[in-house]
Amino acid sequence: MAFTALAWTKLTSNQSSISVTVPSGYQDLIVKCSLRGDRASEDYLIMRINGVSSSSYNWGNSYSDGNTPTVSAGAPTGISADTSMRIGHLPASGNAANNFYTTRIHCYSYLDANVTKSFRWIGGYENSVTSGSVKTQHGGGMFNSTSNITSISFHPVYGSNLVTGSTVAVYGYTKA
Amino acid sequence: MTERLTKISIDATTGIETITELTDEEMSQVELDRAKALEEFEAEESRRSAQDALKESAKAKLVAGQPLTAEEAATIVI
Repeated sequence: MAFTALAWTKLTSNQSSISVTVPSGYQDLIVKCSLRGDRASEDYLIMRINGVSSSSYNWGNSYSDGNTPTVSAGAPTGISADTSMRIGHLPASGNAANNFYTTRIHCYSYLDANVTKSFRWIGGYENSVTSGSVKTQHGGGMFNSTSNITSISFHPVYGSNLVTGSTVAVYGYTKA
Repeated sequence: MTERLTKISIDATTGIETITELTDEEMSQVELDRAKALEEFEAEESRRSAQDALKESAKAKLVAGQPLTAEEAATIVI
C-alpha cells in the first residue's frame, strides 16, 4: 500500500469552485478537503467528475448534528440520478473563523473501464453557532460512467464562493 | 446574477494553478444548481409534512379506536 501526494492547494482568494486535474498511474484516489463557503447560513458542498453536470450521479448520505440522526437522499423517493454528488455541509459564514468542513473522499478504481466510478466520503464540522454540536456526515455515491476520472471539482450551491483558506489535497493510492 | 465569479483549476501533473472567470454556461450552471437544490429541499419538506400529518392522524384514530388507512398504518413503527 502506498500513498503519493499529487496536488495540494490552499485558496488565497475566494473562488466559486476548485477543480483538480488528476494523472493516471494509480489504483484509487484519496481526496482530503477543508472547505468553507461565503453563505450566511449553512450551505451544501457538491462534487462533480470530469466537469459533467448531466444527470449522471447517484448519492446518499447519513448525518448527525449531534442531536438528531438523519438520513438524506438525492430525492424524496431515494437515491436517484442527480447532476452532482452532495458530499457535505459548509459552515455558515457566521461560524468561528477557523471552522471548516473537513472531509476525506475515496474514489475507487478511477481508471477501470469496466466499472462505473464509486465514491465514499466521511466528514464533519463544528456547528458552533446554531447548536454547539459537531455535525458529522458520511455517504457514498456513483458517477454513472466507465470513463476514466480525469478531474474532480468542488462547488458550493447557494453561496457564491469557497473562501480563502479552503484547502484540497489529492493523493494517488496503490493497494499492493 | 451580475457578479462574474472565478474558479481555480489545479493540474496535478504540472502543479500549475490557473484562475479564470466562469463562462456564461458555467454561470448558468450555478443558477441551475441553486434552483435544483431549492426544489429538492421544498419537495423533501413537503414529503416530511405529509408524513407528519399521517402520523398525527394515525395517533388520533388509535386513541379514538377508529380504523386506520393503509397509509396511516404504514407510519407506525413497532
